[in-house]
Amino acid sequence: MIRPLSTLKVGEKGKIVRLIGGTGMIKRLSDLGFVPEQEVEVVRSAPRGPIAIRVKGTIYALGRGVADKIYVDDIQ
Amino acid sequence: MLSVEGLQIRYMLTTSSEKTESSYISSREITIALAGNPNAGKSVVFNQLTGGNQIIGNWPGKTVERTEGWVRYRGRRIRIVDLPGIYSLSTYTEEELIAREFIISGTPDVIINVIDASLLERSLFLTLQLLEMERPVLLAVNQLDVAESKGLRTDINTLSKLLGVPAVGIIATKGTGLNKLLTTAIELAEKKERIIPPAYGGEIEQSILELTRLLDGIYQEYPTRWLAIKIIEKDEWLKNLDIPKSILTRAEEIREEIERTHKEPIEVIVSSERYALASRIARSSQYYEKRKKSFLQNLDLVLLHPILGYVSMVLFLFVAFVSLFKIGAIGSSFLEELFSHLDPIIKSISIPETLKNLLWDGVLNGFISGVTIALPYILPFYIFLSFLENSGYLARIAFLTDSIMHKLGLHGKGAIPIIMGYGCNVPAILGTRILESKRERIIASFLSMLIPCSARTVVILGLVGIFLGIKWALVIYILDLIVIYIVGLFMNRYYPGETPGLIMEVPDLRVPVLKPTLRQSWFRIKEFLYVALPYIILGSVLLEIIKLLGWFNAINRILSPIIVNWLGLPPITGIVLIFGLLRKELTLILLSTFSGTTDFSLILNPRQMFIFSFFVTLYIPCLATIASLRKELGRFIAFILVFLEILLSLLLAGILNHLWMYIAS
Ligand SMILES: Nc1nc2c(ncn2[C@@H]2O[C@H](COP(=O)(O)OP(=O)(O)OP(=O)(O)O)[C@@H](O)[C@H]2O)c(=O)[nH]1
Ligand SMILES: [Mg+2]
Repeated sequence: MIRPLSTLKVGEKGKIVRLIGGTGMIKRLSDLGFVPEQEVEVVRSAPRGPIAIRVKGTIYALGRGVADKIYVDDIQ
Repeated sequence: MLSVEGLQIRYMLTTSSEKTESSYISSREITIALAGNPNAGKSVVFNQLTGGNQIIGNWPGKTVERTEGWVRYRGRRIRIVDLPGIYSLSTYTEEELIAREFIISGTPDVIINVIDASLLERSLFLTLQLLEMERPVLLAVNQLDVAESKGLRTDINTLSKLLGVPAVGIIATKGTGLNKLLTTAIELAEKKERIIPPAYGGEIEQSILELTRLLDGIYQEYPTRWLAIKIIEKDEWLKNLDIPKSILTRAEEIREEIERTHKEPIEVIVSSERYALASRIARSSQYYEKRKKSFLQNLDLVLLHPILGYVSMVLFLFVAFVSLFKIGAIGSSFLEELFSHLDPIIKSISIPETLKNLLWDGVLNGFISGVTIALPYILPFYIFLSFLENSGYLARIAFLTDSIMHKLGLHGKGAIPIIMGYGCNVPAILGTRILESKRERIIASFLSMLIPCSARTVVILGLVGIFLGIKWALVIYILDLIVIYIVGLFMNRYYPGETPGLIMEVPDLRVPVLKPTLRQSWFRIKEFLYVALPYIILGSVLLEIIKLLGWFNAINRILSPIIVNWLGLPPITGIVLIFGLLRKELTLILLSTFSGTTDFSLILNPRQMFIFSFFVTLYIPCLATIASLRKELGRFIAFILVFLEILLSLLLAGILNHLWMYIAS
């Protein structure tokens, strides 16, 4: 099921399918490794607060608004 | 082909005699730039090579300026340039722009690309971009110890072969491999070999090749392949060039076609392609052996926890605060005891009366007060700060405070410069460069100015802490945070603009490496001894001179409406507060030299102690802070912020004073 990254629970994994939003932010995220097909894992998620995501071995803190704009799908 | 021409000329000049050639080459100055991701360890390498004192720490974005240092190697001078960290050559914040500018236009002879071996794939993204530019790149594969502990073994030779550039494995904090790094860099600078960047895959590579053919021979100063990639990416930078219309139209067609098949914007497709290659290279040159979750990884889950995280943050800061106070108080009374035995001995030396006033009351008392009042608090505080910086906890605080920061018009990253403000406001204001917009920088700068730096901590702990008790000192800190919160709410509300979302790397927690961490504290303490102490002595002497000239009362009389009537402080504090403009701890130290005692209860009552410390915390930034405000944000904004701060402090301290008097009566 395709859904925003922000809706994943702690410990859940997903595969990025697309990024929406302004060119600047999309470019920033894709430079950091948030690219289609990339596997991501939610490490921590504060209610309404930011979430911590592991991508390629690095943890990133993403504001809720940012995580809303990254769409992920289940991993087969 | 300018560089080739240059080479030929050099060749002609030097063929006449072997000797000139070798002396020419060995005397040429070489510039080496350190480039790489934030937190890769560039500044540690820089400090190790040049003996410099760049701030190091475990969070992304410490170095925000281009810094140069020198190293002598076999008698020749080598210029080393430490740059802010970047994830890619596209830039978003001011400090990243500085790095990109130097890499593109600064033409260093060699770029040492420092990478974190434990984050190989991500690091190679930037490496590939550097190779696209066909610059002489030397890969410094750093943090091999960290990678090892994570179960990652790196095959440096394979890495070097796949990338087509030399690579050296290093452990910067231990100094391992740095000699080899330097010699390899110098060899590379000498050879001037052409770099052949590795090929990407799929349609992107085909399009690059097609555009490269079309562009062939048009531009001499830039690598054609690099231009082709920039054209496909539609890079802003291309505005500088006048590219033939036909090529641009063809590029547009190619781009549209690729976007149609991938259903993604072009920049995402190009990034994906670079990552695909980075991933292939990383997988072929690094082996992973699964390790159990380490203690620090488990601790991290607690520190980032939505409830436990906040509990541990408050607990941690509270314990730190209490212990720093206790250590400071013990050190202070010990030193006081020591000097009380020394004092009579020194003062028994006979010299003329007037000189005696200046020397003894000015220089000596200034020195003694400076050492006994300030040093015991500053010393442990700096050591604590270095450990905090190098553990990685700052990035956790940024994560935890993101929601609160949004109310103040900032995001979590804004907490980092603000917390740095507890050490000193100057690097805090510089540190706001890691924020994305000017608006955020102005807000964060103003809020950092309101943070009690180590100098103000001396006043709060040394006065309120000692004489009223640590609880009251804590009240000042909490009051200060409330003021900051409210000011932030106002600024966010009345200063229009949007706050971008948080995107920040949270580096792994680490046990700080002892030597570089202590070295960093030592540099800060040295700065206190060399910069602050002379100021303190100078201030004491000036105060004596003013006293001798008889201006003392006149100055205090002018200030008395504010100092005495509004703030309820004794008249002598007026002149002391003026000196505080130089350095904040001067206020307390001069008060002590002036009254000839460190027992402040003789000259101030509890209310006055509290109001004095509170006012000193807020009243005006010191000169160094004003200067950096001006440099970073311009004269106009600096003026407004300073003016606002003075107004705010007068208002709050005055109201607090009258409230206290009213309640007490
Ligand atoms: N264990 C270990 N730690 C290292 C090594 N190299 C650097 N560090 C640590 O990594 C952290 C980051 O190092 P810095 O030199 O400040 O990183 P930087 O690349 O200058 O970072 P920015 O200035 O933010 O771009 C510091 O806490 C260092 O002590 C290493 O080889 N081994
Ligand atoms: Mg640095």
